[in-house]
Amino acid sequence: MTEREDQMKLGLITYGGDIQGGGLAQYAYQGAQRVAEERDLSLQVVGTDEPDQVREEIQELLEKGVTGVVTTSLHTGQIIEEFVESYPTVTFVTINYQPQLDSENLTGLPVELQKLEELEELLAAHLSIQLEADQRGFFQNLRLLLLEWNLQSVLIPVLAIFTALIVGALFIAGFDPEVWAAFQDGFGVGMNGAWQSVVNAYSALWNGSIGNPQKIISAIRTWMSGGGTEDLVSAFRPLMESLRVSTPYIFTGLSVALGFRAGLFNIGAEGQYFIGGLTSVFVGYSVQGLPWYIHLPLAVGAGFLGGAFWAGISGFLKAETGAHEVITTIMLNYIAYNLAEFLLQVGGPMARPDDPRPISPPVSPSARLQQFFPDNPAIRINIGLFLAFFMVFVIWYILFKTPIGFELRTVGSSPRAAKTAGMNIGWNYILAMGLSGGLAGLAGGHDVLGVLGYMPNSFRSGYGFDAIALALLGKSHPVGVLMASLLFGVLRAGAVQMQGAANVPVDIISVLQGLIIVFVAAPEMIRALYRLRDSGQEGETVLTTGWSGTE
Amino acid sequence: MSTVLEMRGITKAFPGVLANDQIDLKLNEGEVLALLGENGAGKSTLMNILYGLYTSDEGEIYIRGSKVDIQDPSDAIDLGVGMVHQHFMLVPVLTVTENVMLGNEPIRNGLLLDRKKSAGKIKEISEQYQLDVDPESYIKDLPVGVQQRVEIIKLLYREADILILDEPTAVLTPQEIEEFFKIIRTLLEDGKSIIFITHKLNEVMEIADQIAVLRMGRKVGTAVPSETTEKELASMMVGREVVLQIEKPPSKPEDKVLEVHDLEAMDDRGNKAVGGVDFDVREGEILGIAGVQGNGQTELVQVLTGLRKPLGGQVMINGKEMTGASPRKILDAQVAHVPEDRQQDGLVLSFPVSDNLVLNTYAKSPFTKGFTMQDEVIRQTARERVKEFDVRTPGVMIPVGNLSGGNQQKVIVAREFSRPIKLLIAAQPTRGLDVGSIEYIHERLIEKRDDGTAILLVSTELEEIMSLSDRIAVMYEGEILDILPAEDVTREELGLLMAGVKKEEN
Repeated sequence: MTEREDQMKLGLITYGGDIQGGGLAQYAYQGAQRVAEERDLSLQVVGTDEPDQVREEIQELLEKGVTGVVTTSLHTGQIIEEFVESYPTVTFVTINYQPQLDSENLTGLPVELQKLEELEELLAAHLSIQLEADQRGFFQNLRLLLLEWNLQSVLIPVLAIFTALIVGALFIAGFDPEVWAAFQDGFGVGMNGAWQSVVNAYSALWNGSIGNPQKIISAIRTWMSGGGTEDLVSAFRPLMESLRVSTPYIFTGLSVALGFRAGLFNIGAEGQYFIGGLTSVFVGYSVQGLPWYIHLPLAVGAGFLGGAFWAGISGFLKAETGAHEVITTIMLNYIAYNLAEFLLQVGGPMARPDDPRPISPPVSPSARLQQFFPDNPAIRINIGLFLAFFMVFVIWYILFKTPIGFELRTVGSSPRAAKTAGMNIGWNYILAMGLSGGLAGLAGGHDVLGVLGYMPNSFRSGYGFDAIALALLGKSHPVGVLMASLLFGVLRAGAVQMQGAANVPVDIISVLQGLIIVFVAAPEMIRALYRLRDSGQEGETVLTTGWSGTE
Repeated sequence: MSTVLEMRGITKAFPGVLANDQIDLKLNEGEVLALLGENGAGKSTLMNILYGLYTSDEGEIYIRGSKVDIQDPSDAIDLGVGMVHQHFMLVPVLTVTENVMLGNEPIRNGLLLDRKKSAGKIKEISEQYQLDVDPESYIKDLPVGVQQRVEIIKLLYREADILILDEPTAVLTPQEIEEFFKIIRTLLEDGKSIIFITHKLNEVMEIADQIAVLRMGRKVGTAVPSETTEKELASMMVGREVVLQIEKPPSKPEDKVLEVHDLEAMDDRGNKAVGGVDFDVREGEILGIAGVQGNGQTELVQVLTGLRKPLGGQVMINGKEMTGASPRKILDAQVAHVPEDRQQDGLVLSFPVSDNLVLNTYAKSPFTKGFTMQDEVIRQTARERVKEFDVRTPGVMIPVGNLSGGNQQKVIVAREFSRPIKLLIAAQPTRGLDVGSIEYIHERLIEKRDDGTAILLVSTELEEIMSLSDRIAVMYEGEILDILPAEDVTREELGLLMAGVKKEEN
């Protein structure tokens, strides 16, 4: 017990500074304390005005085996340098003193007088990273990732969803005639009725999107006691349906997010989705006789290329003429709608022969995205979901681990700096639009190859606009987009059940989605509501430049 | 001479920091008080207290002998205190008159704006102080120097007689600075009193009657120009000895690295900005390009770095044809570029220091292997660079936008100087930096020169050009009027050339 305590200790040396005095020492103390709390270290504060005493105290602290020492003044900084080399495993940080010594385990944090408030944040972040690096543990990367993400960027969406559910509850109760009727019998009865109404709606939402808990438990029991898996499959059907609904959201959300990262506002995911659907379905029905392992990748790839080509037009126009992508992608949306209309109309070039409906011929089985439960056609979840998960990883890797992504992000954050650094802006616009459109095309491909098995002429999905919301909600980060897509999938899939079981209009889900976006897009509201401090850290610019901000 | 303003014991603490600590200040009528100090010394805080944007925690302010209580800017304006901020507060799409009227609109017939009345008054002021401003022109059409005069008119229109000017010359060209000083002198003759915030020493020596130096929130000294030197002021400001005049051994120029023949280029508006220039830069020498801002230097640098297509002529780098080559090709020919606008062109402010240090080498070994960027290598290299180039940053993962201007510039210098380079093109490398950083950048430039790098230095600061260059080319209206050896050229000669007067005509 005591041994552990001694090993995990952090020391803060102040000299002539009061840790409650509102000065530098206080901020350093708060920063160190935060790290100590987070990491379960004990923090020892040494404050004295006697130089010799300081030296003794430091010696004592180090002999106890502290992991980190922070000093807050010029004087203590100088003293600490005497110890740095004798204790190579200890992390030393000096504040307000630029170390003369060149050592791996010693860092000076320069402090600007006017930005003293930032010290706390800075010291905490620095210590965390430094201490972590010393341990070289498995979780180092994860830890750094979380730090990079910064707690608030996770906390705010969660609180936004929570707040939206509360506000949504007011709507649900407010629009329920039974609640109004109940209020006429008295306030208590009314409140009770409102509560019931909300509980009914949200439990229907839960049951419709995740599954009925009782059903799940009993299904698991049956299965454990050797029964069939049929109950299990049917109990999890709602969850699987949510995932199925999420799949195109993931693709289109990634599409818009990638555009944002490169400084482009791809508003045409909808049109690219259509074109991707058309090219996928065309390869799906017109090519015959191939084994699935060739045919399926061809059909999926066709969807990607179709979308990529369609968005690539906007990228090319922007690169060559400076035409703003918002205008061109919107216009290309209309062309895509009408192209689909023309191709699939009865008797049209891609219409199913001798059929009164304006739909394409069926996709041949070798090009279908395999369903997980082919025996149960009501469960439409298919391997497209794994493709979506895989693309989340691929896009994350491209954006943050490859020079291609570095260029895209640089162009997105500062086109002028990118140009000066020798990057080809135009090419990056074309590439970004191509990738973005390809992802939207995959969504179309998923829907025709995995869900429908053919392409109807009018399936206005609304994905294009939901995708913008997803990218915003996910902060244009692939993992964030994944989370947002799963949430939207759950809400959409549950909405149907909510309407059926609780008689709550589907539109209330759109209201919920809208509220979530509003709260996420205006984090000040959430901060004010829950008294969060502004972390002051601004992430990489992920939104596009204005109308005139182009090269 | 009577005292118009006195600040006594002004103390202002922000959470955790004493921005002003017991500062006393005295301004005499008809005089210029220069407030000198590095960035973050507390100059702006002190003036914002005087202007009512902040209230002080302690201390008293006396105007014309009576104690005053300034709660907000309108109190200050009523007391005749006016301030021109470093970043102008003008609406670009409105006219001069409309801008001056804003917040104080004269009304006619109870309802209508009385534009004419304002315009008349502005015209009067403009004539009285020889400001030469047309009340009807739109702000967006006016050069920066004139916009500044509009700001001054705003103060005079509101009958201010204590004028606070926050870094007024930072945005001005040498020529505009001269004109600006003339205006200040006219204002003084009329009995106005001026507080002049700056960190430029030569200006202080020229225009100030009294000097107060601030450092780390304290007043560390006062002086009068006739009894002090720039060197003394600089050490007061920085707190240590500062080398103002750089020591440099004579240059040993060797082979030509950059050769430019009859180069022509347009500016963004399609006017000819560079009209047929010829020059060359050799290994181991610094060629300085002097000139008033806006005489084609910006466009010249853009053409040389591949950011702008030339209209005609030829650029040779290391003997290879590079006319109209792409920026990447020029970078790969071992050319380094320290851009004029460091925040827009040189850095991605939201990216961490480490990424900015590889902004043009990210795809090369060892930073990228195969398709993957080597984050650990990039970070490790960044840590070394930060140490080597003395970049004051808490860490290499901190967004570069959080650093001070001087440290941002050091990041660019660290990036450009760490690759093998034969030619360095540095445009305004010290603009807006504090004394310590300027000193550092200058030393590094000389060091690079002595290593045999060819350096093209473009600067509007005559001091900088004269102290660093081996040869000086003067640009005027897109042409190079003359190229002179630096050792035997005088300020006056350069000044005349910068104004477009050639020797023969003289």
